[in-house]
Amino acid sequence: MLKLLLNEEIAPSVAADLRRREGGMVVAALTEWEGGNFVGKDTAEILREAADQEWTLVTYDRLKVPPTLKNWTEEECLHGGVIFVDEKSIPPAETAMLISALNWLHQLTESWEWTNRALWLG
Amino acid sequence: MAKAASSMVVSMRLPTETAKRLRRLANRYGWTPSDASARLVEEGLRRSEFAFIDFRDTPAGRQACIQASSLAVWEVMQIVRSYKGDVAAAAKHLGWSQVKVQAAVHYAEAFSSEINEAIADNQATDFVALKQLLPQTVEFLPKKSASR
Repeated sequence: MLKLLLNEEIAPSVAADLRRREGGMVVAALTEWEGGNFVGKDTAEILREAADQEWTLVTYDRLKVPPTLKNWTEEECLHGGVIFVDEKSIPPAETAMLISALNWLHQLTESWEWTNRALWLG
Repeated sequence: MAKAASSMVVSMRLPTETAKRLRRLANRYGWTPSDASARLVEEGLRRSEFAFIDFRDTPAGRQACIQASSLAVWEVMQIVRSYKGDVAAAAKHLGWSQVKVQAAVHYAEAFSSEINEAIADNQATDFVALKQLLPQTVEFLPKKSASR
């Protein structure tokens, strides 16, 4: 089951909006996930906890996240899946566009096994 | 963090244990002790001169970040630019005070090349670059699928 963890650069209102939609999406903003305890933590810590709890990270960050995942992939460490959002196609300010894209993605991939997946949402 | 273009020698007396710790830190990053101390002084000065700014090790190197947040300054600026410079809108997006976002803007004004370079590097990691790093990466294009 797809459980979306929205990284801190994504507006928490996106998570709230997606939860209100039909279909029962499981979505959390990083600021609220685990009582907000992972705000300010480094990328590897967030990815490790997300993997343990089978959450898939949604992020615009392609500087800090991919190097960690590359190392994990080479070391055969599992992660909970990551969705990289392309800011050129879905600008951070266009939250309605991101909500629509994630809703669409959820409908198509809800039954997927998300462990170790990496997806480019453009 | 970019280094200053010109430099001058300043001698410093450090406690022996501090000097050992500095050498260990320098070794960890592959810097000379002199380079390490220059970087630490520069970071300390920036922390003192700019509100809400902190420096952290990241997989992409040392980055200027916003205190009590996981975000680097370049990430905040990517959001501000997406709102066409509207600090209030960016603050609402993040659920932050405007003053915190404004602090990122001021840092980015002072060190524009550092921030622009990080944003450009992030943008350069497109689908092709990403799948080279992470071979399992697949592409999903909602707009194209919707128009089919």
